Amino acid sequence: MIDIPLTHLLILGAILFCLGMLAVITKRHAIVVLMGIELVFNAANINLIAFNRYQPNLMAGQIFALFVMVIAAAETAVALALVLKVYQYFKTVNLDQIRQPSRD
Amino acid sequence: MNIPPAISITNEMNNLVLWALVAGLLPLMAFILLVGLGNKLPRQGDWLGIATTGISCLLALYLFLQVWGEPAIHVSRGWFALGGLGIASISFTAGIYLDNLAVLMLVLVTFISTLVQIFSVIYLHGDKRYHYYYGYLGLFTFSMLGIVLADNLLLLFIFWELVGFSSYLLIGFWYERDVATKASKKAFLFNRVGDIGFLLGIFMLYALFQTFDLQTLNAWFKQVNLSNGNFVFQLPGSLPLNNVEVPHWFLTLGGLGLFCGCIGKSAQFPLQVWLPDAMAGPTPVSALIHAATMVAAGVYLLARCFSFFTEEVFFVMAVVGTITTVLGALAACAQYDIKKVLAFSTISQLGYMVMGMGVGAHDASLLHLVTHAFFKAALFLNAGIIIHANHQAQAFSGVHTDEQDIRNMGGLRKILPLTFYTYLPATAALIGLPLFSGFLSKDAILSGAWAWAHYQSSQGNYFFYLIPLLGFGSVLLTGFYMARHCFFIFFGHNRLNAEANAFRTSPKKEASFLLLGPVVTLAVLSLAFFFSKNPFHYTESWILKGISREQLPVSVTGISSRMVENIARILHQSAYISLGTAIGSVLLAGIGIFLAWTSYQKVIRSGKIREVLPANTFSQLTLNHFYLDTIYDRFLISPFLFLSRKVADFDQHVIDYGLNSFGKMMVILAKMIGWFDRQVVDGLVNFISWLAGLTGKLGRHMQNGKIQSYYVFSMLGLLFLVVYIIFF
Repeated sequence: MIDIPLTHLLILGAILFCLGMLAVITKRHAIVVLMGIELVFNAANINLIAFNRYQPNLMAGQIFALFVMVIAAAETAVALALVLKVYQYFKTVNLDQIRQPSRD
Repeated sequence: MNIPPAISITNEMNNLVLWALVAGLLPLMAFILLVGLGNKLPRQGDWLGIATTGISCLLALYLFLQVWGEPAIHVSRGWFALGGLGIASISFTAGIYLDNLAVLMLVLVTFISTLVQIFSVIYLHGDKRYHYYYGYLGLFTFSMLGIVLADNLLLLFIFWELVGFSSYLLIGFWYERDVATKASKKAFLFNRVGDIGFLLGIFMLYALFQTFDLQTLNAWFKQVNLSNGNFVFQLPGSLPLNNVEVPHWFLTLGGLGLFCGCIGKSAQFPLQVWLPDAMAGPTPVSALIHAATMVAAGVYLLARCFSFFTEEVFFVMAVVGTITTVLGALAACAQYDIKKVLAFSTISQLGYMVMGMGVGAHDASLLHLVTHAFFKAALFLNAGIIIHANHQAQAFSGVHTDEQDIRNMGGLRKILPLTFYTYLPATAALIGLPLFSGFLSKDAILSGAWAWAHYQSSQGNYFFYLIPLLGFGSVLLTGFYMARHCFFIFFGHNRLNAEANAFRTSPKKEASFLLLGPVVTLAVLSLAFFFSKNPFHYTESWILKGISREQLPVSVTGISSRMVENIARILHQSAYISLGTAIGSVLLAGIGIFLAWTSYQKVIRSGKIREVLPANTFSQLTLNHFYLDTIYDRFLISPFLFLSRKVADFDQHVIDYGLNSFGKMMVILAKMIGWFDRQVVDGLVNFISWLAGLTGKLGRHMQNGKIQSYYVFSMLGLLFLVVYIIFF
């Protein structure tokens, strides 16, 4: 097994995090933002797995990553439901246009 | 304090003092009523003025009869006190002093004042400030009586100033005339000059004796001893000054100070120039104030303070009096204004009185004061009638010339005979012809002067004889100017070419009884019989006896007693002196009259009497009163005005400039501070508010309602936190 240095994994995690952040910040579409959030989760997962190497017998990092995936799936389900409700109410999922109609 | 030895004051004395007080206050009441509501009274209240003064006069006569020849009455009460509360308080008394001299003056002032007020009824008839005129006369009478009755120098000084003030009001009575306002200011200011000296003299006496009371002062001077030329005062029982040595010069200076008051008020050289100008006032005022009474106040003061003077002061008095006499007489010789002649003659006669005081002839000088008051008042009132008649004639004939110029008169002897025959005795009295009052008093003064010169020249210095000789010279001049005056006014033919009736009230009546009555009374009183049992010799005069040193309460003459007593002894021993002066002065007066006649004839023959002008330089000099006014103008007034102009310039250009520059600097500074305030202080405040605005704006941008930007900010915050944890 080729020994990939930890640094590379961390940099990969960081890049993935930044890309996720970028998506979250810049994208207007709520679903794309959710996709960005998934990327951020996965960046965290890469970090968990990478640090798992220091205690391979416990497998804590890998199991934690699994938990994260499960929770992320659940969260995504809730978020998609919310997005659906938002769409029904505002007739849009563009984040910039979601606001209470002004009183005037 | 030094209370004079307690004289038991009986009820009767108290009553007399009370009457004196009433006599003095009545004219004041008239003044207040007349000035306050005179124009509401019938006839503008002239009757009120005359009645109050008349009652005062009757009271004065009553007092005269009660007090004359009796011991003096002195009643004084506490006036005011200074200090107290820990410091010994200084108390002042005020009171009334009635002796022969006081009651004599009382009668004189009220009597002449009454006559003058009666005279004024016609003379000022129709004047628009008629009631003020009577009011002012009341004020004058009140203040003059105050001077006469006052028992201390402070009180006397207050009335002295009041007299000056009422004189100012009356000289400037016709204040529409520029001349009158100028003259009143001049009189007031010249009097002020003398009064400064008077006040300083009073202060010096007070500094020594701690009292203003004349009787206390007299008592001090009674107890004086001489040691090494200084005076040692002793008064048993009083502590502060017992056996105190006072330097000779100190008393001399104090005496000169008191004399300064007399110089101002009695128009002595060199302050006499105000008196001729004072003739701008109404003529009756000139008669009362500037001839008979007020100007004599200075002489009265000298009599009251007679014992305080050292021999040096007496010498100065004699010299000043003589100079005044000669200058006044010379100036009178060349005047053409009827009132100016009389004014200069008054100056000259006042000079006689002061000279009399100076040579120690205290009683002679006072006798001259009394006789002069009557005949000079008569002359002035007569002059008033003549001016009045001239005025009337000019209005009648339409000719308009100077109604006071004697060159425009002439021939009035036939037109106004009664005036002429009252003018004559008064003139004769002034010249000093026998049988008339002036003869007695002038003779007494000249004899005194001669005896004085005799006494002073006992060391072989005969220059002292100059004073009596100049006195005799003035007798000649008096004869000359008065005779010239009469010739010009009464003789020849009238030079106005008006009808005789134009001068008279009606063909049968030359003037109103109200004008003639006072004049006749006064003219009759210029006869010597009223003043002396023997009209040819003054020593028989009852007035002289009444006011001589022996009758005045202080029998010792004070610090110059040696001189005064010696002179009295000389006079007593050498009867030839008074005989010689009598004969000499009559001869000289005769020569004067003769000279006047010849010069008058010369002018008449030339036929140009109306254009006649002073012939030579000397008479021009005298016409202009030796250019004293010009001298004052050039050497005192002009430099003074120059100085004040310079000071004004300095004030304007330096002090004002400095102040203005300072003001400008303040403005500049204020501008700078304003700029600083606006730019820096306000700027700081604005900056802070701008900063707050900026942060507000920034904060607002953060809360833009976009969920993503909130996210960005929270991320940035997290980033900062991490960076902080890592690097710091």
